[in-house]
Amino acid sequence: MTKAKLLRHYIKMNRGLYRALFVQTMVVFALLFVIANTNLTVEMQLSQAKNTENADVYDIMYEFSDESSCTLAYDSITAAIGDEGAELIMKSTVFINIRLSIPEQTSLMEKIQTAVDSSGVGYSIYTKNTVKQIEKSGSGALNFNSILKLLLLITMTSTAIGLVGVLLISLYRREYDLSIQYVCGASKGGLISATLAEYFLVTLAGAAAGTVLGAILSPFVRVFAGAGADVGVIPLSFAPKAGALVYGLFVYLFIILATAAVTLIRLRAVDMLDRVRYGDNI
Amino acid sequence: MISLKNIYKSYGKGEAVRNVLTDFSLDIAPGDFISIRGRSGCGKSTLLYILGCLESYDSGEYLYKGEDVSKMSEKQLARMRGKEIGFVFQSFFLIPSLTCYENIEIPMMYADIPPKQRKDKIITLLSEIGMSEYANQKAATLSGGQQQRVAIARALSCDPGIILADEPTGNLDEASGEDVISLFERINNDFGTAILLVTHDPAVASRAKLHRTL
Repeated sequence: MTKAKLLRHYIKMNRGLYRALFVQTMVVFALLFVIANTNLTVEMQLSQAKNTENADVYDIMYEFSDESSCTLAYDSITAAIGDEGAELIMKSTVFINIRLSIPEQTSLMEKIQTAVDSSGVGYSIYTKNTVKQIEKSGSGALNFNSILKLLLLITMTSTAIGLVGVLLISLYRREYDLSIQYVCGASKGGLISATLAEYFLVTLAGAAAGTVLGAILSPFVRVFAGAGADVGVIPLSFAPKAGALVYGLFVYLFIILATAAVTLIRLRAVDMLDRVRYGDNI
Repeated sequence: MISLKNIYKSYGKGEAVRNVLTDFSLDIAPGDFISIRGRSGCGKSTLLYILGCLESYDSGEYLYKGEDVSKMSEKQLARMRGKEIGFVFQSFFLIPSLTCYENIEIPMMYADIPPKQRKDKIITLLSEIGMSEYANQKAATLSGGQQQRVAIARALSCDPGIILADEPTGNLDEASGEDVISLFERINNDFGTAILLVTHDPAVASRAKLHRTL
């Protein structure tokens, strides 16, 4: 038997409790990932729409099917607008953003349209009106996201309560075994870290499974939320998946820290000698 | 090997204070077989827990191989419990979900004994206690006498200098109790391991070479 084998043994012994812990962590992370993937997208779109509406500039976004089309269109538009006051940004290899001053939009817009048409590449344009439409469709998605957020809140609250319950039951069951190990040469610090390692492994597995599940579900949820096609094609300034992962990481750290705190408090309070004296009859 | 000098231990505070050990001294040399007798609540088990570094004492001096135990860190005390001292309890105190083999292996695991060495030692110990065929059987499925024999093998696994036994025959029938006491005698004679035996039973106590009453 090694310490790793002993750890596996206890995970197996507490499999009922740990299964619950695993599922709870997985559900929280799947929800987190889905929300981050849909909500961030919609909120970015809305913030962009609002900025456009209130600003004295006017964003036109072109999306192309590939890199070469985008480069070709970029060159054509650059040549067409010259120094007429439009700011042309190639945001990515398939996306161009043109920021126009409102008073000159009509004549400039025509030039841009001609330049893009003459380049002979397929593209999509999102104008102020399109962005407004996104805002409308986005409000439905926002409602959906609110429901998801509420679900997440309920799940996280119940998970937090469940987690503490699972830990305390698992620790209580374990105290007899831990006191035997204590008598046999384990230090209290070593026992605490071994117990924490179990929770860490189980919640890590749950978080990983939840993230994968969330990634699989996100596209379906986005479409279902009405924030699909239109929103999805507009590039964002950062990848929502990365955001979701960072957010998830913070939540995971919080869960681990809370778990560690509960374990430490309980295990420090356990009187190993009482367990030795009274065995499993406490 | 062990020297206890003027040990005091009490429980409770104020008017409820109960003195359990008062000015108690004891010297244990390698190979000693000592029985400790006394009425219930006189501090026999407390003495054992103090010797086993499971309980602290109020005042006095406890030296193990010349080293002051009160100055040891938690890690040093844990190492001492694992390597230098073997415990045998009345209620066996095995982990029921682990096999006999695994239960014996626990102190060796914490003492960082290499796996190969552990295996050889456990096989020898199981053979010594006549439990070789039960190696892979869960502790919970064994009889009381068998569990106590496994507990003794576990206590011996790190070749400790002393075995502290707290009423080791208390939960056993007469025949199993006799087996266990005979095993202690054999360990004491063959390996030279010191044994401190706490018991109510005069017949069991009489098997020791030295006797103390609390």
